Amino acid sequence: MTLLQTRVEDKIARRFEKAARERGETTYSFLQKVVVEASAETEPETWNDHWKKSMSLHLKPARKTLADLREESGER
Amino acid sequence: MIYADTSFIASAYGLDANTAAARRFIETNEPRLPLMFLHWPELAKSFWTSHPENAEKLWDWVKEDLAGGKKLYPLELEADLVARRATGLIINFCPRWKKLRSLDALHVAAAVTGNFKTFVSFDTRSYQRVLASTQKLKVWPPLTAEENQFLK
Repeated sequence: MTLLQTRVEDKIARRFEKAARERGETTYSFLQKVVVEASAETEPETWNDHWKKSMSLHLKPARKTLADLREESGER
Repeated sequence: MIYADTSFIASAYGLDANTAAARRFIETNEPRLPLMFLHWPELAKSFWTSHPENAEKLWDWVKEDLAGGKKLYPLELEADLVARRATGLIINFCPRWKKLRSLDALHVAAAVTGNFKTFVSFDTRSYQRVLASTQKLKVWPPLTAEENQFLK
């Protein structure tokens, strides 16, 4: 029994090992590739990225702030 | 823990006279800001009024950031509890400040209910920031001289 078979369902472990062999990989080098690909998913944006993205939108400066809009709408 | 009024979030995502100040605050504090039901209608109003050509993009951006959880997070407070606290604030302060808005009281009530310590808002023309100060919230930017007059 391989280490993988102790961690996941036997049928899935066998399929994974077969897929690795077909690609000329060992089980663990193939597993490493899969994990690296999965972790390449985009990270949630932080405030550090915020201003660059804001610039890319080429926003026109608004003449009114939200406080102006509140006042204008007669909400007070 | 920082509670941001919609005026702050609108300036942080849009571009207006307060955006530079919002940026300074964010760069210094790197806050994770709560977003709740009170913010959505006002953010929509701000985006679709001030940046109509980019409103959809800004809207999606806020939703993505909320899902990402690094910049924004969903604040779930019981609406009735917030409303009851806001009612108490209105009863206490309305005789003194006749133009105190319900929305101001709701934002301050949300901050108090959620046990926030700092209240950030650019709405210096209402009683919102003054009201927050009476509830022992640290207000940023600091109260103006005019706002301080209301506390006397």
